[in-house]
Amino acid sequence: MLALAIAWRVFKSLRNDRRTLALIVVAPVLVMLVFGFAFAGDLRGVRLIVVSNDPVVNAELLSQHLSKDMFEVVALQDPEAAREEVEEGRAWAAVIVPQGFSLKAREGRASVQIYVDRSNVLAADRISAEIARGFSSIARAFGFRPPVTQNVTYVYGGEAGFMDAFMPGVVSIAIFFLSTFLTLVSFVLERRSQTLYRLYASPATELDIVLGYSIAFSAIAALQVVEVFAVSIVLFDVKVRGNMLLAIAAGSLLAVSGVNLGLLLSGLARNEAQAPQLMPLVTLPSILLSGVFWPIEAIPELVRPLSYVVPPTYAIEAIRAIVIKGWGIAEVWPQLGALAFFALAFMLLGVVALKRRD
Amino acid sequence: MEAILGKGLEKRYGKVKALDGLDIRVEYGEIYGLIGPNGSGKSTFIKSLLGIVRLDRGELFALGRRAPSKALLKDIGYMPQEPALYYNLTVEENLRFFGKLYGVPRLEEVVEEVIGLLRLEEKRRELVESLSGGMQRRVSLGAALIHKPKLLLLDEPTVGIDPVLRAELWDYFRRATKEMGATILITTHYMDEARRCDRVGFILAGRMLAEGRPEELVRGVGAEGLEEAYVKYVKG
Ligand SMILES: Nc1ncnc2c1ncn2[C@@H]1O[C@H](COP(=O)(O)OP(=O)(O)OP(=O)(O)O)[C@@H](O)[C@H]1O
Ligand SMILES: [Mg+2]
Repeated sequence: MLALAIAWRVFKSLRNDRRTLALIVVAPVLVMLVFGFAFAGDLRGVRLIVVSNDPVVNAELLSQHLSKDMFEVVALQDPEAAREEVEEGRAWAAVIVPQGFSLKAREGRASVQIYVDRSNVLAADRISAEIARGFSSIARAFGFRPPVTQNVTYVYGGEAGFMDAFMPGVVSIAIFFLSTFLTLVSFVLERRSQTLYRLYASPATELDIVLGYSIAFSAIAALQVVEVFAVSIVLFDVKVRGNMLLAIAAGSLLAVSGVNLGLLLSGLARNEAQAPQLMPLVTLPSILLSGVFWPIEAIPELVRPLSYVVPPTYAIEAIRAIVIKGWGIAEVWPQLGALAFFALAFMLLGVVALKRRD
Repeated sequence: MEAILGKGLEKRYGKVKALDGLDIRVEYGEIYGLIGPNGSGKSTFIKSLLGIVRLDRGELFALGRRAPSKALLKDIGYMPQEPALYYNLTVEENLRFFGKLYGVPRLEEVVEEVIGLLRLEEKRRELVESLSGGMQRRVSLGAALIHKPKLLLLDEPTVGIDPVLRAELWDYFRRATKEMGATILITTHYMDEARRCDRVGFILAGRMLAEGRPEELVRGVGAEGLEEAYVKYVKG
C-alpha cells in the first residue's frame, strides 16, 4: 500500500517540523476561544432603565429578580427621560412601572411599558425574555394573577446555557475550517518543493497520494476534534447529554470530509499560490449556510438547498441532537451517512483533479 | 527495439512550442546525451515521457511499451533538474521513502549502498534543508537510483557536483549500463560529458537537429571537436 508509505512520510515530516506541529496542537484551542467568545458570549452589563412609581415593584425589587450578570439596573424618575436613554442608545431597554401596579396586579389587570432597542435582534430577544422572566418571578413571589404570569416548558435545552446551544455549530465550524486549512497548507508544500511531480513520476497513483494524505490528516484532525470538545466542556462548561464518543465520531467524519475537501482544492489549484485563495470560497458559504448562527429555516428558500450541500450542516444537526437532546445512533445515522458521503465524494473528486496535467 | 522512441512529439505551453515535432531514438544499454541550449525542450521531453506533462501530439514508446504509462514508472528512475526532495526529512528518510514507493526489496542494504556511492555517509542523519545545493543534488540522484531502474532519466545530474564525485558518477553510469544493462538518458551543458556518451542528440527549439555517435556528428559537419559541431548545428 503506497498510500500508507505516503501517510507515514507525512508524519515523519511533521516530527521534524516543530512549527506546524505546534500549530496543529494550539490552533483548535485558539479557534475555539475566538469563535466561542465572539459568537456565543453571554450578554453582560446591559444597561436597563427602571422608572417606577409603585411602592412594591421598584427598581430595587426588579434588580433582585433579574440576572445580576446580564443587567446593570439604573433607576430614573421620568418616563420620557427613560425612553430617550433607549432612543439615544445609552441603554438597551427601559421598564416603566405605572402607579398602583402592584394593587392592580393582584386583580390581574396590570400592565407595564417596556422599551427595547431591537436593532440587534438576538440581543433584544434575550433581553426581553429575561425581563419577562423577572416579572414572572416577582408575580410568583407576590401572588399576582395572570396575565402577568406565564408558563413555558422547554422540550429540549431547558437547563442549557447560551453556549450549549451554540457549541455544536462552533465546534463543527472549527473542525471543518481547521481540517480543510491544515491539509491544504501542507499539500501546497508538496507542489512548492516539486515533490508532487516526483510522485507523479513514481509508481504511486493519484489515489495513493490522496488516500495517503487523507489517512495522515484525518488522524491528526481526529485528535483536534477531541481537543475542541474538551475545550467546550472545560472552558465553556457545555453539558453533553448524549454519548460523547458518538459526538466525537460525528466530528471526526466532518473532519475527514474537510481534509478531503482541502485535498480537492489543492488539486484544483493550478499553482501553489492559487490553493489558499480557493479556501474562503468554500469555507465562507459553509459557515453562513450551515445553521451556525441562525436556523436553516431562516435561510431564504431560494438558497436553502445549498445548505444541504455543505458538510457542516449535517455535523451541526448530529452534534446538536447528541449533545442537547441526548439522541443516539438510531436517530443520527442519516447525518453521519451524509458526512461519510461527502468524505468519499471529495476524495474521488480530488483524485480526478490531481489527474489533470498541463 | 529501442529503449525510447519518440516520433513527431509536440507540446505547447500557451503560445510557447516547447516540443515542435521532436523525433528521438535511444537504444538499449547506451548512455544517450540530450544536448541543447536553455529552453530547447530537454526537460519538457523527459517530463512528457514520465507523464508529468501531457503531449499534444506524437507517438512515444519506452522499454517496448507506449509511454507515458503508470506501469512503466517502476522501471524508470528520474532525477529532476531541480532537486525534488522532502526538506523536513533527513537524507536517509528521503531515500527510504522513495525506496518504498518503488517497492525496493532489502531496502536498508540498498540505502547503505546509495549512501556509499554518493558519499553521503556524514550527512545521512541531517535534514535535507540544511544541506548545501550540491549535497541536495546527490540525494536527488540517489532517489533516482534507489530502485536500480532499467531506464534512467537524468536532467542535468552533475550540475553543482565537484569534479571528483563527477568522475566517480560517470564511472557508475558506465557500470550501470555495462553490468546491469541499464539505459541512461542524460541532459547536460558540459561538452566533456557529451563526449563520454555513446550517442548524443542535438535539440533546438523543440526539434532534433542531429542524432548519432559523437565522432559521427563531428565528422558530419567537418568540425574539429564536438563543441564546434554543436555550435555549427545550432547556428544552422
Ligand atoms: N510549466 C511551463 N509553463 C510554461 N512554459 C513552460 C513550462 N515549462 C517549460 N516551458 C517553456 O517551454 C520551453 C522549453 O522548456 P524546457 O524546460 O523543456 O527547456 P530545457 O531545454 O530543459 O532548458 P534548460 O537547459 O534551461 O533546462 C521554454 O521556452 C520554457 O519557457
Ligand atoms: Mg531543463
